[in-house]
Amino acid sequence: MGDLAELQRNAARLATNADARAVAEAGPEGLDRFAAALIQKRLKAVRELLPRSFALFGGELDQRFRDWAAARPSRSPHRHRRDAVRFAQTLHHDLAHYEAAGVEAWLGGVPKLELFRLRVDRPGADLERGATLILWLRLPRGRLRRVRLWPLT
Amino acid sequence: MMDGLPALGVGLGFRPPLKAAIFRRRDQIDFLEITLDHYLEAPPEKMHELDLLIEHFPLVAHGLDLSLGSAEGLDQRYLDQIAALIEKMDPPWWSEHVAFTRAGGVEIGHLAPLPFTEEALDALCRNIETAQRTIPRPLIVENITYPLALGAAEMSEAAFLAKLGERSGCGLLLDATNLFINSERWGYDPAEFLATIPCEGVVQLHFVGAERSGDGWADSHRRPVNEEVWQVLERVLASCPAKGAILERDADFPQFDDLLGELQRAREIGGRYGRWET
Repeated sequence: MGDLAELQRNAARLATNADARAVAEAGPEGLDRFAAALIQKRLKAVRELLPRSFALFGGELDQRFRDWAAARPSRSPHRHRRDAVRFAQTLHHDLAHYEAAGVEAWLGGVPKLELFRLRVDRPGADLERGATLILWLRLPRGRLRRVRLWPLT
Repeated sequence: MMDGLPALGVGLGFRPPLKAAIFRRRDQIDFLEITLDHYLEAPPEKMHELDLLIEHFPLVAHGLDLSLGSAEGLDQRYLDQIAALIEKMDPPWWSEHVAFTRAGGVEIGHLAPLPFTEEALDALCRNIETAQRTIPRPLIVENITYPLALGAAEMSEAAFLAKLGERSGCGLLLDATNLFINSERWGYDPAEFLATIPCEGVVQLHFVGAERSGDGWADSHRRPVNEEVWQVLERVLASCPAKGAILERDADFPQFDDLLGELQRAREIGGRYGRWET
């Protein structure tokens, strides 16, 4: 068991950690491609979970995510949602926090009340200033609902 | 353990964006495959969705992260969680992958290939035995694509799968797309592969379009089924008494009629070989 266990430990570490790959003398051929595919899969999932943030920040966010994810293995269950929440925290922007709050609410942190300084509830990436108060809660049968408490209209 | 399983026909891997269409056109979908991991520690609305699916469709269960090939053994907590879901779904069989997804406390988040060695076979068989003790219903295991080879192989993938079936008693979930991609990448003929594995142990199939990627192919799960994969699927169905086939489309969804067209084509191929009713 020793050889296989060691091979798997090394492969897991190298596949999920760019720094470890950089200092490794040699890894299995194709490992870089495997690692890149892994990051790309995570990026695609997070892009779908934070679509307006990615639209707002433009293409630069793809590379920021790749850099961020390269040294941070994902964690199950719901690894992509957890990635989205953790990555959004690094963006320090109301829109990202708003999108991540919806994901967090799905993960179970409801009821959830959040105040934003921008009109984050309006579709699209163009944002106006203006307080927005949003409540996430669950209805009977477990359905997640988002309610805007402010502004009223 | 694989005797007497029902012929289910041709169905879809359940994906939430398809939910409304799946319910609307359920007379054209023979069964659904449910990804267990999507319902682990899930919020109430997700569990309500599962209840609805159980009520309206024949289901099979498919796991992603059990890491059956881990030399360190299985995560008993994860195994207990999927056992509870499988019990709730009551499928005729459930499936996992010939792969590992965690080692040394690291979750890879992707299916990583095993070396085709006796030592890896031992680890797989030990873990399968543990899984079967916890989940006493038929387990079938799936071939993955492998863009890299970890360690030196002592046998071919097909010989490895044949030995695995012999030693563990598991059936096979043969992914026709993965078979096509691997045969292209590693330069072998799918017919040789089919001549080596125990075809009578093939219980279920997966298929989806393979996508051109650089100088090879990738299993992106977002393309219509290409002719090369249809040909492999037909070869498999000609040789193997599969009970069901699942179209595994995950993204870039086309019109739902296009997906139903692919189900119908697979249904007709299987029907020609008497695998299920058309």
